[in-house]
Formats: sequence, C-alpha cells, structure tokens
Amino acid sequence: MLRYALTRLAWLVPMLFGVSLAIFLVLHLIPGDPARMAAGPDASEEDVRQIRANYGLDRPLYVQYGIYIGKAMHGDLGDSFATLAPVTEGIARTLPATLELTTAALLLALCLGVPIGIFAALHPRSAADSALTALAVLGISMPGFFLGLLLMLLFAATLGWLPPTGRGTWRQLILPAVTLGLPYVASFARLTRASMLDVLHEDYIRTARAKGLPLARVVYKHALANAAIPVVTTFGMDFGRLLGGAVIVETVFAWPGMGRYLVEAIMARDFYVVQGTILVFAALVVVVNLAADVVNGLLDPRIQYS
Amino acid sequence: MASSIPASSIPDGPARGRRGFAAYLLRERRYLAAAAALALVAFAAAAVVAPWLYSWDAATRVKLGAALLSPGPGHWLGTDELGRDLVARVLWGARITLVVAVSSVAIALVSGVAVGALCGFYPGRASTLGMGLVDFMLAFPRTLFAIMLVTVAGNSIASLVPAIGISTIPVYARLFYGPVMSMRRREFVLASRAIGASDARLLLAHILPNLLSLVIVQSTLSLAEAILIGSGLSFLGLGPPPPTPEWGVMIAGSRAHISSHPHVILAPGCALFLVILSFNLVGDALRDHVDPRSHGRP
Repeated sequence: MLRYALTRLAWLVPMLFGVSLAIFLVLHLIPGDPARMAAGPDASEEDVRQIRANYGLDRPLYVQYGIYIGKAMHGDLGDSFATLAPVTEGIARTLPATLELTTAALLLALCLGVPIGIFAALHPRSAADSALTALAVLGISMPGFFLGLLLMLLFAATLGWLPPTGRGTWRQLILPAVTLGLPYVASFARLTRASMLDVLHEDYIRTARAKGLPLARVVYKHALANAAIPVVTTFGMDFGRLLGGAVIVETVFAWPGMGRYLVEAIMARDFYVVQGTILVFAALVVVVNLAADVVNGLLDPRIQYS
Repeated sequence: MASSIPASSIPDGPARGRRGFAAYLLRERRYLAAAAALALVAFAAAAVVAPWLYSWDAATRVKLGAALLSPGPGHWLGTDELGRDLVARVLWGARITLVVAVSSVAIALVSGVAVGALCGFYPGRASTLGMGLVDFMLAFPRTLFAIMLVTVAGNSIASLVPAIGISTIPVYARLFYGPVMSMRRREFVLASRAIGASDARLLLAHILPNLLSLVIVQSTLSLAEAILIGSGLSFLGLGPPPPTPEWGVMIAGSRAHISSHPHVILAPGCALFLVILSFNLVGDALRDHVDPRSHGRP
C-alpha cells in the first residue's frame, strides 16, 4: 500500500514540470506581450524594449523557461511589476485564505451531500429523490457571483444576520463558503446516490443482509466504503472547478485569497503574479487529484499501480 | 461495443427532428423542459430584435437625472445607477450573450470534434499523447484556463470568445474519441472501406453523421456552461469593458447598489440564471430523448 502511494506521489514531479511548461507556453505564445502589458498602453517602443531586456523577455523561449523553472525550484517566482515584492510573498499571504474557503465549502458539500445521497438511494423515487434532481440542475445553472450577491442581499443587507464581506471571524466565512459549496451539495448527493444504488445491488450486500446484519451496518460499513470510490474520484476532479469558482466568490465577498490576488494582478497587468498564482492553483489541482487516487487505493485494495 | 457511450445513444438515423423532440416533451409530460425550450426561443428572439426595439445609444448613454428609478411605466425594469433603461440593457445583453456563447461553442465543437475523431480514427502513439493532453486539460479548472487566455490577449469580446472556446475543446475531444474508435470497426464502415471509400469519406459521410445526436446534446449543455463562464469572466472585468450591456458586466457595475436598489442586480441576474437553467433543462431532456435508457437516472 505504501508503495502504491509513493509511486503515485513520485508522479507529482513530472506532472508539475508538465503543468509549469504548459502554463509558461500558453502565457508566452498567445498573442500579447508581457513587456507591453507591464509598460501600459501609452509606453513608447523604447520603454517596452527596455522592460523586455530588464526581465530577460528578449531571450529565446527555452532559455526563459530554464531560468524561470530554475528560480521556481529555489522558491522564486519573480517579482511583482506593481509592488516589486516577491510573488511568493503574495502567495504565502493569500493562499491560507483560499484554502480556508475551499475547505469549508468542500466540507459543507460533503457533510450535506453524502447523507442526502444515501437517503435518496435508500428511498428511490421519493419526493426527496426528485427534489435532489431539481436542486442539482439549479446548482449548475446558478452563476456563483449572482448567488453570492443574493445571499448577501438576504442575510447581510436585509436580515443583518451575517457580515457581508471580509475575513477574520467565522461568521464572515459562512456566506462565501455557502456560496461556493452549495452547488456541490447537490452534485455530491447525486453522485453518492448513483454510486450507492449500484453498490446496493451487489451480491455481497445481499449476503450481508441475508446473514442478518442490520441495515444501518450494511449501508454504512459495507456499501459506503465501496460507493465512496467514484465520489472520491469526482471530488478530485471537481476540486479544479471549485478553485475556479473561488476566484469569483473571493471577488464578490472581498475575501483576501489567492483568487482575488490573481484578479487584481490581471487588472494591474502584473505578469509574474498572474503566472505564479496560476502555477500554484494548477499545482493544487494536481496534488488534490493525486491525493484522491491515493485515498481510493486505501479504500479499494484492488486498485494497484500498473 | 466497448465504449463509454451507451449504444442506444447512437441513433438509428437522423429521422428524429425538432418536431420529434417537441412531441416527446409533451408525451412524457416534461412541461418544465418544454417551458425551458420556449424560454430559449424567447431569448433568441430578444437577441435578434434588440437593435430594432432599442438603439445602442439607449442601452449605453448615461442619463444621471434618471438614475436608479424603480420598475414602473416607462422603464419596466427600472434604470441603473447611470440612468440607463434596464429593459434595453437586458435585451442587448441577450444579444451579446448569445453571440459569445454560440461562437465560442462553435470553435470548441469544430476543433474538439476534429481532435477527438482523428485520435479515435487513427489510434497510435500520437493519438494516446493527444488524448493524454486532453485529459490533462479537462482536470485543469476551465475558468482559470480561460482567465489565462484572456489575461494576455486583453479584455474584449474578441478575446473572450476564443478563451471560452479553447477551454471547451477537450470536452468535445473526450466525447468523440470513444464512439469514433468503436464505430470505425462497425460493419457499415468496413463495408464502405471495402468498396474503396477514403478515410475522409468514412469519417465525414459515415461516422460523424451517426454521432449527430451527441453533438446536439453536448452543444446545448456547452452553451449553458459557456454563458456561465463568460458571464463570470465579464463579472471579474475580463470580458467586454463597461458600458457594454453584458449581463456579468452589468452586475459587476451595479453591485454597490444591491441593498438600496436590488432591481439593478436582479434584472440581469435573473435573465442570466433563467437562460443557463433553460439550456441545462433542454439539454437534459434532449439527452433522455436521444438515449431513453438514461431517463430517470442521475
């Protein structure tokens, strides 16, 4: 088992290289020019050339990537054009807020979604079951920023129960976390339901019931461990979408996370901050997906590296 | 067939047209999906007629004297913080939303189907590598990918469309890879090959027409997602600049007035939500129509 986990984790290194190369290429090859971005629209041709030379942007692309990745491995993602502070400093400042928000949202989605899904699987075609289908469609159709503003209007502006923006107290976490997590409650519930329904028809479940085990024990011990595997896999894949959503939710609630740092950097045309934060976002996605693989290996001893 | 797509989703022929779908909705009593289909017709109509009802000037010109009027006669949805009529802006927004969504999905559809079909039709090392790249892109957050593309290309509708389109390519590539791969071994394809049809003819005349239903279902759902991502990027300020009456831009611009005058947010927000919801409901119904086995399944 340990060997499986280590093999999966060893994949992290080439994958992170691949991700960094992909991001580097996309940002450098699409039409547009980091130096011109930094110089602003009114800069003279001479200024742009000067900036290009200062940041080494006039060197061949593979040299630039070599320098970039070499520095990145020493914890240097370049400096912000706007504040001249190292990008890693900005990321260290904002990453905890983003992790706090996404973790809270995921916990909400899991703690509500999985029990609802189990209930719907045990009572197929009930009212709860059809309500779940409806909620799932509503969840994927609701733009995060509109949901966030509606919740803010209701709970902060009208009822005055919760603070509308900022970070610090747990009360300030509720609205952003609910906005981000709510659409995933329905999707986790639907997934759990489908996966549970598949498992509940297996022979070993019938055997467990036939030998007289109580239903609750069969459901929570025998079925859930098997039904969890697709849920964990999708959890890993959904995490990326969740991070994308966090960028928007952070902007709505003035949550000082990495998404807002990224958006502000885009507005300020701060190329290295954009490149660095996207790299960290991508690394998070890769790590969480690998972690999901490892968890699945723990849940199902049949999964082995090949 | 060892394919991820159930065999029944590959239809017998192109006979089931639009009338078939309308009849299906009524027969199965899927009134909600039928209402959603009507809403989409209204949305498309609004997008088309907007310029005849309201001039661009009416949707964008600042009239501070008429700022933040509540809904009522003369301004049925009220006016925003710069005195612009919200009916005019929401209608023009429908037009922009439709153009952005349709053109970005068209980019994704053409390129994605090409990638998926070629990789499926010519299995080999290049195809494995290509699909590996596709899977990798699928795991990457699409909003972030689109943000990355818009960042350097600059914020405008002209860069929003390719950003959404390119980030959607892997969806279509993944969807077409399996069915094309399994279909190239089907008897009717082998028969055409035996009488000397070229690869291009096999793909374009025999395989892809049989997968038309996949295109229709996925495109409906993709339009919903394209609108979702596009409005999100516009809300962040990465789409067209103000005063463009794009719904995400409108919501971002009027945010400060949400507690005093909620209608400035509710008008574009509800339009956005209803259009996305309608595309998703119609897409789900289309999927059930094309693949009856999926009905009632999550």
